[in-house]
Amino acid sequence: MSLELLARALGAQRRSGVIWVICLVALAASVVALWPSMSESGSLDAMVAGLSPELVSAFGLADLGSPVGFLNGNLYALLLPLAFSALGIMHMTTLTAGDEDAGRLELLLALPVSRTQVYVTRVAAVAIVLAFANLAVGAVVGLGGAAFDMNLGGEGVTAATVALFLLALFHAALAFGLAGAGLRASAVSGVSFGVLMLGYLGHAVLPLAEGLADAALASPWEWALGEHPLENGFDAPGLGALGVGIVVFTAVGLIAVRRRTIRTV
Amino acid sequence: MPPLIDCTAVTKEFGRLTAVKDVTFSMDRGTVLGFLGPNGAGKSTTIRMLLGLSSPTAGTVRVFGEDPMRRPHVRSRIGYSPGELRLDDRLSVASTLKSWARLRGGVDERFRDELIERLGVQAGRHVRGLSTGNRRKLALAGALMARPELLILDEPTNGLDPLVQNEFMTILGEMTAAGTSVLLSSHILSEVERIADRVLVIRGGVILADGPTALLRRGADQVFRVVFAQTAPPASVFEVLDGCRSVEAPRPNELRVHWTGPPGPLLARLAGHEVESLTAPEPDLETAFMSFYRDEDATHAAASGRGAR
Repeated sequence: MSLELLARALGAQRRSGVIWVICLVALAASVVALWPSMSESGSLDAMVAGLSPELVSAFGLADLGSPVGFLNGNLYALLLPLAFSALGIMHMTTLTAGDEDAGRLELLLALPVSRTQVYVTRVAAVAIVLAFANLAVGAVVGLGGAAFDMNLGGEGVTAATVALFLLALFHAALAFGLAGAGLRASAVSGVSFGVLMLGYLGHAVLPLAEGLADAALASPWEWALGEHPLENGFDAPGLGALGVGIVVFTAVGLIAVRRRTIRTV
Repeated sequence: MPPLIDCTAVTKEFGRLTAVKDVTFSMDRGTVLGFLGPNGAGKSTTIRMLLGLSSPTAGTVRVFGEDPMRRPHVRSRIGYSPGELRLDDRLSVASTLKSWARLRGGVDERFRDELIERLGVQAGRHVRGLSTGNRRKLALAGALMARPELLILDEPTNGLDPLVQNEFMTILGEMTAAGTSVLLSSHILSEVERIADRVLVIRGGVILADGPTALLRRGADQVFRVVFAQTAPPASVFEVLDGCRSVEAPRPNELRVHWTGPPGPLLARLAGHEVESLTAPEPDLETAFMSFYRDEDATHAAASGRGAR
């Protein structure tokens, strides 16, 4: 892997990446900081008491009065997976299809570098940014949890961090595969966000429908969060499925981009 | 040793559109090849295949004897400046040059600095704020700084002011004198005429002419100005000759004969008349170029153009 190419890809994400990390860390910190006052008031369980069980399940609001339930409901069930995956899709789309649409790849690929080198370093750069963002948020939750006596357990926070990282990388890899195949940036982000949203619906809604519960197993969200990693730790089969998806999408993108014409403006 | 560039029966299709059709040409070391054609003729498509950015639908492309699509290292011997400049706006000028140098390798830093100075590259600025001309200077410095064996330049002086254009052509002359080969695609015919020793003319994706610049120029229309001692003979006397494209009569004792090809038949016909003076200025490349495009019938143009080989 070329360090120069990696540095360029990381540099291209620097500003946006820093803003995302700051926002996500601030979000996680504020949610964690709310726990003492919310738990003392005892109002959390009362808040969801009036909601239907379907709604509670769909938004991950079950057991909101416990530390794990509170974090699931406010961060891990929807907000963080959505935000990390959106970050992955947007950055990957910009670095691949976006750069190609803008004509920025022409001069780069006229240098003695292979397409594989260029694209592999871009996957690596997005993975690094996602890893950094996840670690920062995981650290805030872990340290904040310890500071506010949430008794989260290191394994649960680590498992949830890894699950969110792989879920985001899965969607980023999907965007990479589509960009490698030659789709324009708008189509790449459209399809990737579509899969992200359908995945959420499959994970949150299908289990509530009679006879369709098993279909939820096809959702990447289910692979990442179905076994409640914050509570139960690592889920090897789910993480493995995400890993396989990442490898397959990346391989498809690399094979496709090596054989096709690079677009010009 | 294989030719520097070797294209054999190259066709490139984009869906139903055939951008380049059955193009065959080669280029030897030490050559400066002018690549002429109007917008959409297939010049940039051909150049992009030479760089491995695009693969031919049919035919073979070899640069330094290798397939540039499969062998990216071959591009370490090529300097490229594209016609449509899309630089990375996220970088500064200095970091752009440094990045290209790191990825390319073998950059002579003193020569790079000399190019920055001679071309007036604004090294202290950010790419985002550069004008078209300053972007062009940056791209040219990047293409030249490694002293590559082959330069592929697509409209290299687009957007440059005349002084910088002249300086660039001087630098290019110095590099070609030192052995650099150049494929120069340009609309500015005087530029090509100044430096190219061979010209390739393409239109509608088809090569119309390929030959030495001087020979191509000779194949162009000439205008013979004939002043007769008395009243000029009727235009029809000359119009029936092969090679005569048209005859004008600006004055009673003067004819202007537009002629293509060797002038022998015209001179033989004039021998029967009392001619006071006969002048025919040397046609320039522009005249030659325009004559290839006069006919709307590309097939006819192709047939007549290939005669210049």
